[in-house]
Amino acid sequence: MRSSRERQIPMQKNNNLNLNYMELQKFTYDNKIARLFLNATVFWGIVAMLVGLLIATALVFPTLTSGISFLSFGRIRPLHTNAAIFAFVGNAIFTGVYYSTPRLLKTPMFSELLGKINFWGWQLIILAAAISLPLGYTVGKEYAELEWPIDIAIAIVWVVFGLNLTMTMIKRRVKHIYVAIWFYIATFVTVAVLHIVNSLAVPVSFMKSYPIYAGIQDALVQWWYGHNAVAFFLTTPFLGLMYYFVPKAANRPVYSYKLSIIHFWSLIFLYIWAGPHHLLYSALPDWVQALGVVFSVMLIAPSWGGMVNGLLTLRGAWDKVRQDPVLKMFVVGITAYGMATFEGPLLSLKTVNAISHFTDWTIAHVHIGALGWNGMLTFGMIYWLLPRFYKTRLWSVKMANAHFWLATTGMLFFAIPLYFAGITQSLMWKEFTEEGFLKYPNFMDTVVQILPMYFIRIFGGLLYISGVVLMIINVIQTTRTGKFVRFEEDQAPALKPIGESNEKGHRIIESKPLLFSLLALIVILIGGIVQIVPMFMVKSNVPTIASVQPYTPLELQGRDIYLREGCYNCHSQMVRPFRSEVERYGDYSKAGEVVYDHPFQFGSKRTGPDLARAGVKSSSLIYKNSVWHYNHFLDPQKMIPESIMPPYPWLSKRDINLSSTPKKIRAMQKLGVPYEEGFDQRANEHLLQQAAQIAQELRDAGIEVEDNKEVIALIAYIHRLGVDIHKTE
Amino acid sequence: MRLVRNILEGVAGLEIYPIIGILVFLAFFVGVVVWVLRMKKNKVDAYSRIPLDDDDNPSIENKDLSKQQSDSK
Ligand code: HEC
Repeated sequence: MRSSRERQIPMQKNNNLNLNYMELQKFTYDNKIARLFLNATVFWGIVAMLVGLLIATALVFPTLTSGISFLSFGRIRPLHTNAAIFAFVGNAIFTGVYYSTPRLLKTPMFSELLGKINFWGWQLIILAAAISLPLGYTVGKEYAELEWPIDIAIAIVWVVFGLNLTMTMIKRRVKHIYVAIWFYIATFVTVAVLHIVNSLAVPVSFMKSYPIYAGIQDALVQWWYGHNAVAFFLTTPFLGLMYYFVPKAANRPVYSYKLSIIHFWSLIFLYIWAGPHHLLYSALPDWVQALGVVFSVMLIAPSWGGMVNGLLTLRGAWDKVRQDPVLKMFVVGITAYGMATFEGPLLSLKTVNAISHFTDWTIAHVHIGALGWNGMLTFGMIYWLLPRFYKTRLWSVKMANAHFWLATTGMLFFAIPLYFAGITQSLMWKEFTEEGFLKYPNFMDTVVQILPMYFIRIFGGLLYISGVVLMIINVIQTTRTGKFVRFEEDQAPALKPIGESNEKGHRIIESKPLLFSLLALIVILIGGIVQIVPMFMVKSNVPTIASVQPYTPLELQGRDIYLREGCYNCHSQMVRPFRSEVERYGDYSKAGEVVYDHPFQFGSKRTGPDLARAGVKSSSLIYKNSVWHYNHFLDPQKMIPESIMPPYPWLSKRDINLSSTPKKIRAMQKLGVPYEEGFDQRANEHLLQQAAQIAQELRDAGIEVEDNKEVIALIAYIHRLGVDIHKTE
Repeated sequence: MRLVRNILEGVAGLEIYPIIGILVFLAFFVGVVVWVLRMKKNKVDAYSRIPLDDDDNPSIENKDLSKQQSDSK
């Protein structure tokens, strides 16, 4: 299935590789797979952005899709994030890798078949995600929501990609492997490790599973994953693309190749340690938090090294930059990278994090990265590749320039209001009156204040998307005016077998792909192991808090409804040890309280109030009775007119899935949750008893409801939250 | 509340990890820098030109873009 049509001709060619008089081999590059990925990038790009627009609108018009379960905010936000990361950026990565790798290694990709499996497999995975997430199939861990069958498919397709990449390296005709490929390899190796370690789960049924980790441990693994998904899915592959496409588009070599090597090794080393900065002030042990902060701050050095290297590549070519939309987009993209990687360490400082965490500041930060760095680099790459694929000119350079301006202003109109919203809301949460009371005890006051910013964000998104629409027109028209050239010829001398030359040190490593991959693997594993292994020791050494008990069967079903509806996309369950939070939400969260939470539900954003103590009657600001919750879930605006929480009318209609209860209990037992032997068989009995009590309470208040409705389970879960440690008081 | 004091207290020796981490990194970093500084300049120059070393269709090279700019609609 090889696409190469190789033949050998003795010829003389003066190239840069110091191999002047050698037998030249002719071979062809196959653009087919790269073009497929490019089309997929454009397609999923607009899908991801439109879904983003939908949820941004849903935040200001919460009843926009009311009654339609599969379009509700909590289910659609994971669709947006997954589509943006894995569909849009993922396909862009593959586009660039499948185009640049053969050209850098002077050989066709190893296998066309593997390339096809990579392409179609990835699209099927995206399709499965696009169907299963709105239907509510989710693990409930951010950016790792997909259920276990899809996770397995991801692992397989990813390995196919890695195999294709590594084998191409082995077949190469150049001795030195260019730095872009190192970034690709680090991406492959690390994402494989992250994905597998974080996705380990015990299946309950087809499309439902519980993560093997619980509580604080799960949080640590998840954010080790989450942070490094940013590092090794959104950053390293794109740095590889930068080191290839920026020199190509500017037609000059990278500013400093030596710097790029230092950039590479220090970046992959440092990144892997920084995950705990997502859990500052949480119940995570202090030393892990400290680790996260220190390494996050150090990260700024290699990140800026890379940015400077990218930008200075264009030194002396600024006249070109002014004319060429491709270079313009690269410049803004790399600058956005610099901004985001300056902001990252800043947000990791505990004092800043105390303000920024759980607010829209984070949303602004990630969109500088996504819209600026990933978006702009992708668009630039597409505009550069298209004319080459179709042996023609870009249909309209003017339109590409318009796209550039729409994207740049769109990004700013998106991010700046959200910075403002995040800081405003946080300060309001923390403000006390002179008498020592919370100034804004009503959470909604802090939401209403920032709604105008949400409107401006929608405007920014619209600008950005209209730019992409221009790009789509441009892509279609360019495709029409040209003719796709599938094969391109090139020639290079054969590579002398390694070992003939006596190389030392780095030269050996960089000339041996497998050794290189192994070293990269070791480098990234050190950070992971130092963080995670002690956490496991801790778990097995320390007895859990006696009053903390597993969920009852009804609460467990309720918890799974909480996951299915994606409530964690708006609600945190982590009270930080600040006076302002303890006043508002109740006693701060402890690690020992969440030992049966498979998965943990700390959340990352407080569009609504924290729910960690929603069941504790004495935390008066948050506790509500069953009747209130019933009415609120079905129609939040009835209880709180300005609320932006979406209604969940279907919860009072759908029955609790009783047949799943025993399976869920058994899965929990496998994970070490101490339900007594044989409890799985009695679980439903217990469930119905508890449900009858709550339903009776509701009926006493005049609400017509049956015992076995989902809303009952959800109320039971909410009323369980945070109560265990108060039992002894 | 005594019951729930940080369960992780008492597991000794964990504070050492950040320090070890930084030391390992510093050693590693120095190693990389030494490596890089010892690389030969002519080789490094050749490496950095690898992306530019193919017969990328001259007819659509970037320099055409400025021309294209003026005559596109
Ligand atoms: C779009 C974001 C959003 C989603 C999704 C969301 N909420 Fe809310 N929630 C809010 C906001 C905002 C409030 C505060 C206003 C209010 O009480 O309605 C709130 C309030 C609450 C409250 C009341 C807290 C209090 O003041 O006592 C509870 C309980 C709650 N939500 C539970 C849930 C559950 C359970 C889900 C999932 C089924 C959910 N929320 C989904 C935004 C959201």
